[in-house]
Amino acid sequence: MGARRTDRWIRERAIGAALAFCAWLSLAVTVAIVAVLAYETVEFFRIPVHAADPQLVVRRPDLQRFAEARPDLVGDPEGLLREFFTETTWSPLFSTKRFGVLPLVAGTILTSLIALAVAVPLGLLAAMYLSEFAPEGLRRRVKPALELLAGVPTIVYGYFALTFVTPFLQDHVFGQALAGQNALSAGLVMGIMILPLVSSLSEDVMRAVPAELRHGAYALGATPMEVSLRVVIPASLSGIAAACVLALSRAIGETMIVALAAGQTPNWTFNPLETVETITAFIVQVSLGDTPYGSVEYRTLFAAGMLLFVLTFLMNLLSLRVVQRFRERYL
Amino acid sequence: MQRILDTRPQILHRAVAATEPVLQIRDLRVWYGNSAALRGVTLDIPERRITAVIGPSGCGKSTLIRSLNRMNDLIPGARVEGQVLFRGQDIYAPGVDPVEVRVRIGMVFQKPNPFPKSVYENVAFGLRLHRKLSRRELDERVERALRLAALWDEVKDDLHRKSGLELSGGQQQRLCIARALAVEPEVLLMDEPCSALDPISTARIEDLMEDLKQTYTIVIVTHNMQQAARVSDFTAFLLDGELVEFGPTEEVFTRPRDARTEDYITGRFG
Amino acid sequence: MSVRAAGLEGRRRLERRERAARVFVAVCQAATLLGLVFLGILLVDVTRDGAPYLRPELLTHFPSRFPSQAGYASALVGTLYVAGIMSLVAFPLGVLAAVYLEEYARPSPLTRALEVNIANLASVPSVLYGLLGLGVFVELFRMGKSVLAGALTLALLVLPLVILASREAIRAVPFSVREAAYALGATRWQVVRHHVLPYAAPGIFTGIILSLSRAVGETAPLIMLGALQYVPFLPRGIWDYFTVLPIQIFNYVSLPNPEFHRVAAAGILLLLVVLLFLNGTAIWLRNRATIRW
Repeated sequence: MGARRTDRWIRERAIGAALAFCAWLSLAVTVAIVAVLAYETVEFFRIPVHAADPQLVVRRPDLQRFAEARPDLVGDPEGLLREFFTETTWSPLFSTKRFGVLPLVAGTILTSLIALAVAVPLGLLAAMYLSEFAPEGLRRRVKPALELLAGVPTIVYGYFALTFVTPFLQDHVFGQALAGQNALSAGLVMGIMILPLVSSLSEDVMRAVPAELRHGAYALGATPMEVSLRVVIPASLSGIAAACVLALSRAIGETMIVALAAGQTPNWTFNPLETVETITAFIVQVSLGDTPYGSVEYRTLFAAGMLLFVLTFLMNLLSLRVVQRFRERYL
Repeated sequence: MQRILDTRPQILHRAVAATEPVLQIRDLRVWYGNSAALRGVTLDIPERRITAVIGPSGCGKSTLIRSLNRMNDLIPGARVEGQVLFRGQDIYAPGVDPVEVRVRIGMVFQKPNPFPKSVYENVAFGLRLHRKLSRRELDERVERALRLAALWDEVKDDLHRKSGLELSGGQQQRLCIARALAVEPEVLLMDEPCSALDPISTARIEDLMEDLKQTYTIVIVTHNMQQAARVSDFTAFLLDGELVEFGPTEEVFTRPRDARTEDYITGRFG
Repeated sequence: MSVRAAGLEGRRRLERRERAARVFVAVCQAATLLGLVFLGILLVDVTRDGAPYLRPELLTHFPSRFPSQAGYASALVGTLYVAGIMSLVAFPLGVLAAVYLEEYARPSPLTRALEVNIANLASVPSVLYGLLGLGVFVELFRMGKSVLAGALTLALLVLPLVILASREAIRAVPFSVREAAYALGATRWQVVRHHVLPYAAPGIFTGIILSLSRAVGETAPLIMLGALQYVPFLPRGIWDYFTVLPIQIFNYVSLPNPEFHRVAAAGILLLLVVLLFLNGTAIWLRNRATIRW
């Protein structure tokens, strides 16, 4: 009896440990992501140093190309760092080899803001309708239907944006002023894709506003619209803000819609009718080509990825901060 | 000894009151789904007096008062029949706008429900809805309402910074009263306004009501008989959705005509 | 009796407000339906484009230079391979991790950090998982651009989703179920294995299927693992090159010949059918669970 009990005890502990391992694996994933990105990013910014090492250059044609195109940067890692964050030309894959990442950032911000401009108003209106005005039966059917929008694979949206939305806008609105690949079409379609994010989360927050608050407003002679806009929305602001930041974060990280419909040409502009390339689309573009391990082109992948990671990380922090600040002021 | 029951309030009212009724309730019936909450209540609310509505829980007091400013409209499944005449006009007539009704007949709730906004914004809320006012006019009216509610001195330094939710329970309720008074209603309905408050806050609000009745007609629902006896001029006793007795408070409490009233008041039930 | 008419029919400003209120509700209604209308237009457009190519050759042919000869055979098989291996890895790991967090771990700052970490991972853009797979599986572990590397990358992508969904399902199991088992002297693992997991199974399976359908639709991470290469053959094992359905679609859309766009549209319909099937199964499972309990 005693021996069996010890056996069982050991087995239980072993199982517990195995389970813990599974859970802690998730931490390993995060560490791995950060480590891989960080390592390759550091190596990226050390390219000028590598290019100044003749023994290395001899073996590496990509470093040769770099040295030929940018003798000004050879041996000057600070120069590369400065250029990365301040220059407005990005052409690491071409012979000119310029490394200003701002056009990619512009492309990302432009498409994401257009997406938000679509998703936030529509999402909030839909959330208001579902939480304040819609009869319960309708709400039960419409809400999962909206969730459908989020479940469609992004490649499908990309196809639609490229082959339907852009030609449609060209034929009926902008004519040839709208490029075949442009930020507007991609942004619009992205907006519809993230709409359920905004509407679902906002609706949950709005429904949580206590009925007494609404009744207090009605008792003062307010119309349903006034109750929605002047009481329910202000009371739900922190949740709505969090939903918007989440939606923005999703838009920033989106890849296929922008790769297909926004373009693969970096462009320092904020004109939505033009072709732009986002950070994510660049990552895809590089992967489509031949990128030998450890080459300059390979490392630009990770530098861009690190930028994306930092951006979305900041978004997450921002959403927490925003929620806290609103909560303090309004409870 | 049997008492002769005479529960027709018009007779009572005409004999006793020196004021015109501002609200006349005629055979009011209210259902929530299939269950009847009010079964034919007929009652006159005299102007610029405090009328208390008392009765055991579930008797329909809240339903009655919520029918007076069409707040029952907000409850799905609520059905109303009969008439409620405000200055001679039925508020349930087709074509009557409930929003307009609620401007003229305001309400304070059992649990204070200030908006999560500043004190100023709470009071100004109703004003902004209904009028286009200059900043100065708004400030004046907000101050007036807060003074009426005896809250001005306590908040005048922090009007814009303090959130309505940062006030104490009693202060919040006075804020709600100020908020309701700001739109200048003619009638103020109060649904157990002190039941969530401590005795001191309760006393302050009762004093307030005494001052307010010079300008406003007040209808107060209360389950606290002592409060009804202290504060009101007229009392209506409801039981199971029916009006059992209505009259000057002193009479209802000392010489009730109906045995059921006497039983309730002496605590035999409820 | 009455002094003057109450004047309750409203004044001009009130009329304006009321009208605005009605318009407002209509606008909200329109906004809600706009998204669905958009989806409807999308489906009609895709069907119109792809219908001519919906024939058996779509499933049996390999990619070709000629649109009329092009098909998705390699992509479909590739998807099956990758999804299959991914499931073998991700689902047990995810469910067991969820079991640990719900049944074994004691609330502590460390556990809380783990939870925050998992929530963060769920919102990391999928391209970054692709970079992770490239740097670690393809290069560091020297797996090359293989089915295995792709499957493992996707497994990491869906792991947080599986964990979150499983936790929900496990949390929904009423405590009384566990109580009864503990009271009979069962060990923690026995309670989990014989009582909690069976009870939570439908919810867990639903979560698994939803994660699977998410993985099947993923394009970006696998592009990074070289799944784009022209793959006119079926993968010969887990170390071989591969492609998957969404990437083959992407391939066809990117070609200049507009006929290939139609082939892409047909592929999209294929993909949607697969996803419909998966999600339908998930819903059916969820309903079955409600009936049983």
